[in-house]
Amino acid sequence: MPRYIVERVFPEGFELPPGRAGVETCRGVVGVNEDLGVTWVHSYVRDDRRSTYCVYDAPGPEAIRRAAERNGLPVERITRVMVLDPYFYTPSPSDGDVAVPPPVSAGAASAGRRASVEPSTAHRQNDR
Amino acid sequence: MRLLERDVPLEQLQRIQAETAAAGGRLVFLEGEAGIGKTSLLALFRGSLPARTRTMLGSCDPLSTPRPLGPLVDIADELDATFAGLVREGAPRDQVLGALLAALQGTGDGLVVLLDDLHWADEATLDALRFVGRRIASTKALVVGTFRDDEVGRQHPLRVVVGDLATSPAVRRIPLAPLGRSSVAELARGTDLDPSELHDLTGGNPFFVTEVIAGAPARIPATVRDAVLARAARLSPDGRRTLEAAAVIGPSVDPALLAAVVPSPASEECLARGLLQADGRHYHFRHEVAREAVLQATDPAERIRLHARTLGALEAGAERDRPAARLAHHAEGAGDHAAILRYAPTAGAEAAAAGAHREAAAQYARAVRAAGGLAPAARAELLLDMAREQAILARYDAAFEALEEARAIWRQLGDPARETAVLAELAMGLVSAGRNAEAEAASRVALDVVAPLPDGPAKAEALHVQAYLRMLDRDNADAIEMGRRAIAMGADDPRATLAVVSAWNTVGSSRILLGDIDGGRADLDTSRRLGLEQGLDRRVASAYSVTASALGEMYRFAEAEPYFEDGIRYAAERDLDAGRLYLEAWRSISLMHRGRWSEAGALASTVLARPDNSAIARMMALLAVGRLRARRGDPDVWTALDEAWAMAEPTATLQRVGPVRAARAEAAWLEGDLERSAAEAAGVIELAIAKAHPWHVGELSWWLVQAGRPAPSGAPAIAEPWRLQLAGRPRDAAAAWQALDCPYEAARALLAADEIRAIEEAHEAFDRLGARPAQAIAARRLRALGARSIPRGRRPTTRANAAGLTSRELEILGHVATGLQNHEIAARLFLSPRTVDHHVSAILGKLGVGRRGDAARAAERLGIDVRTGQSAAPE
Repeated sequence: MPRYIVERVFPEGFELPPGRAGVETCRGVVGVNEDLGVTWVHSYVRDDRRSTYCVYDAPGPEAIRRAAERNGLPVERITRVMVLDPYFYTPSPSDGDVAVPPPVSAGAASAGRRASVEPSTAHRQNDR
Repeated sequence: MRLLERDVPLEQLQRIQAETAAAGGRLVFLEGEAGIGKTSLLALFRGSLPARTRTMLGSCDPLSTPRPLGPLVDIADELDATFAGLVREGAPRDQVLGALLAALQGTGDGLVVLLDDLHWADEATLDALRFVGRRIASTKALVVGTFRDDEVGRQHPLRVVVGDLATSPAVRRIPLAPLGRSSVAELARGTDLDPSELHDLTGGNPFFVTEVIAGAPARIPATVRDAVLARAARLSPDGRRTLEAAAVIGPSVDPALLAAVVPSPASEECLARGLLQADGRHYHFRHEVAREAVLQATDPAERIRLHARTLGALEAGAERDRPAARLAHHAEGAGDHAAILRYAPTAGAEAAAAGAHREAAAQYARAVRAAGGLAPAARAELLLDMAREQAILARYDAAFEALEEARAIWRQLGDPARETAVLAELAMGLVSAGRNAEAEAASRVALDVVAPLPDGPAKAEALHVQAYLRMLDRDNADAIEMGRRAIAMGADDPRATLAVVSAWNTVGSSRILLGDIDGGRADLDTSRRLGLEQGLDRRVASAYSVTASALGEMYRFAEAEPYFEDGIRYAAERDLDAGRLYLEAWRSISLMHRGRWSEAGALASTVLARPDNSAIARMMALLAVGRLRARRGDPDVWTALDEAWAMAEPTATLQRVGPVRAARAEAAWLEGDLERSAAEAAGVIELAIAKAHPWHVGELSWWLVQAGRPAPSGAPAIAEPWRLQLAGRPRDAAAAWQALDCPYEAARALLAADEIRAIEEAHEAFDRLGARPAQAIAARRLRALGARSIPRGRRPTTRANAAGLTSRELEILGHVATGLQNHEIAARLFLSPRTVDHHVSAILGKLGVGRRGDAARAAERLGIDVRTGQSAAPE
């Protein structure tokens, strides 16, 4: 399943209630996501809490937007991404030994597996 | 009776059955490998039900081509007289399934229907299962179906049905696990067998385990088949012959039939040894696995002889019912070609009428294989019947090969009318396979062949096929002329009904595409009415989708909406999934143009999620998603549009190539790649001009002009909004788009204006839609025009409400109105409670009320809809 980074902007600051209520809020989001085939992997929250960068696995951007609507979450931008893991990087024979493009593996951060997808241009990823 | 380790699934079944009275009907799949004990559990469950529960059991046949609706025929008489009557007379699918559902709905509490061995179900039974499964909650019945999960691979038709139904809350799946070590040990108690070895070798399969124990062998056999044969080996020669005859006769053995096949059968011995069991008036094997093992071990020459004797006995009237499928099965087993030709075509026709197309194709294929000595004309008819079923199953290569042979036969016999029927079938099949150029060739040949014939049904058929192809190619004037001739020629001839209904469809579609909206709609209504009168479901669904999609191609989205709605309902009620999906794909395009992006994305996603989708539905859903992603600035634009193009290109028809190229030109423009945008547009504009398509010519010309290319000369009439846009009248163009309910297109037209106010309006409209790339273009235009401030944008949708509430305040007010406390609102909106406190104070202040309980009422008085907050987008 393709992976995306979803940027969300919270002009008033992002806040989770403390304790149980916070756990339930997170679970609620996860539950709604599940209905739409969307997985919230984890998020990075900016220091000033004004934006979050959420890592998602989803069948497509429409599902992410729909999940956001149902969860009452804003969407600023959705970007298709792939995982680069520097510690498990091995060059492929065709790459030569210098100036290789960064190897990437699609989908989950599966350690150690060599990249199977290398987009030729940024907007032409074919993952179906 | 008690079964080891089956208390849990038994209780599950009992609990679900008890729920049905209050909660509505349920469908349960009981699944596990052969011999795991599904049928035994069914019997145990059946025995445990209260006496007043009506219970009935239907079983699927392990015949190479099962009887259509086999298990439902078994239960028909017990279930309902109307349903039984319709099944017997081979009534149309709709009536049969309608009566089945009515019977399940009408019987009140406590009806339990057991359907055994669904992995062998014929296509019509699976169709009925899907139909009932989708509506089971409207009954109070419990339907339990069993199947061997190890025989139902990904491509198995049952897997598709189970997958389809699995998401319904009224459908449950209960897997049965093998026995554990302690249970196997319990069974083996008192024997010399090593329980641990027995468990490992049998994998805990209950049938295997008990078969080994009953055979009392010195060594545990390696396979369940060996275990069965070890047991059978102890029979006397007469007993063995009886068992083999029973295996050939089938899973349910009538003692009278057995006696007719084997003189003085040793049934008692087989019963005493536990190899056969008596159940009411019939014998059967303890398990189908045992029957298969005995059948395979029977000497082939003996097997053929037994099939022949069974066939002879059945023909002599040994049993009351003589289903053609069963006779054909024994005829093939006996290698009796004459008998195959007597029964297989009838069995094929019965299966086709019941909607069991897989079985129908197999029966016709069986007949064709045996038709070596048949007269050529009879063989050609068989080939046509077989090919028709194969085409429905999308087995195109086999179908086309058969049709070519049939055509050659008619040509040699000099029968142009029959040759035309074959060519018409060939052409329509080729279109379904996406091979339009070959379809055109076949259609031309058909026209040549019928030319010398007088007017009549054959000519009507040839003309309607050509009219249809002209319509697909958007040669609309030709399509109308030929379609009308087909209608005139076939109107009074029942043999031409299908051609006439289809021709009305074609003519209506082409009239809409030529701009004669009302005339076209009237023709399509005629097609739909005739289709309904004749019970031609697919033609009716097709009339809906052709009307809706032709109106959509003319940007008449609001007028198309009722056809989408009614058509989707009509197709869904009849499980015409291909028709429904195509309508849904086109509706998502319509919703996208009408600015209802969230709904458009959701609908297109459901179409794309279907693995068994027809190519055209997928293509149109990809188109909707591609445009939507491009307009939102979302990723994966080209994933969708490249796949759409790969599907559209081979059709070489404007209907598919035009919109996909236009979408790609738009996406490239939004990325700022004007060269590529122009190249996409240039790739199809000549075809669009040749077909005089006012909308495609308009859009494609626009993209060329945006890239600095001249608008094409010699262009025919261009649709009004595009004409105004190209004529440099952005305000008028925007108004024209607005009148068509196309808000994005309206805003995009305004971008070409030279006045700041117009661009600001566009900017605001894009912001409302969430159209980031176009919004960025608008911002650049504003800067270029020297605008002093560029609106920040953050969805100023609610700026204009009477109390001056911000959109965030409106959203919070919505939650206040439903009675939520501030900390609950905070959790829901990912805000701190303090922030919410501030917002609530501000809201109360703006509304001039003191208590939160008064806030919602005050808002209502001011005419503010509190549900339009940002998070409350319509689902």
